[in-house]
Amino acid sequence: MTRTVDVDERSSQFDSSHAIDGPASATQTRAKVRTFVFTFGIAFTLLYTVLERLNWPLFTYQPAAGKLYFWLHRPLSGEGPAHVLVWLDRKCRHRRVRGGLDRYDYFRSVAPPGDRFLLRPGRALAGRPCCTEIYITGWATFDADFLDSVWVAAPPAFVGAAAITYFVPPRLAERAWTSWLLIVPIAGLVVLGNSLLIYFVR
Amino acid sequence: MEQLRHWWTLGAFEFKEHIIAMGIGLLPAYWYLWRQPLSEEDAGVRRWLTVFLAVTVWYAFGAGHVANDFRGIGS
Repeated sequence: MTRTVDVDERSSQFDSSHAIDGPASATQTRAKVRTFVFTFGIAFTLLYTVLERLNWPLFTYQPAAGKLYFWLHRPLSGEGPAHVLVWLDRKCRHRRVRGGLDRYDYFRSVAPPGDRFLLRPGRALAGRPCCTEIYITGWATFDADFLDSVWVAAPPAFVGAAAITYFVPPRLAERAWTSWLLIVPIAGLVVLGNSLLIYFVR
Repeated sequence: MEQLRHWWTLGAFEFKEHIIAMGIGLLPAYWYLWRQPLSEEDAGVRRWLTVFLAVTVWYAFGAGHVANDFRGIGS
């Protein structure tokens, strides 16, 4: 009888310690999740603004070598010319102001028949008048918006947020981070909007 | 749009990409802030984050709609 009571007491102590640990653990997890999502939001919007302004791509495609590189990659020797001609379906195009890449306009006749993507050094074509259906990007970056916009900021923001969540105490993050969650995106939009001013002051 | 020199429409459409990217980056925080039970201490940031996301969505809707309707110009 005595043993039974002892076991019951021990069992109830064990249960109550679990009951105490449960909410504490849930609170800790919640604090970690909070730190992570807030840090990710700040890091993503900050990186997006910086990388967009610097025009750093997530991947660089070298058509001559047929290679796709992670991040920014300048052409190595033997990988051929670094310019990409891209066919455009219009008679005369204005230079795009977005993106920051150097772009030039050339005659359609420089492209071999049937080629929609081809490589030519820009220097060889210099001096041609601008009235064309082709343009050249400064150096061979994969010219796709989905690569140089949102996704370029996401992986480093995710890694950075995970690292900060692991190392920074939640209390410190809670005090410092919360207001920045709104300040950074709005400041980023001001910077990015300013880079588009050329559209609105013509 | 470039050919017809409608720069405002083009600029507004370009800006849409940025504002939507910012909104996407803040979605995890939005999810966290609206988890039940709602935290009273986060009421302010929850309200303003929701306003920000509403602005992004409505701006994208408006800019996309205008850009889409632009196809009718000159036709």
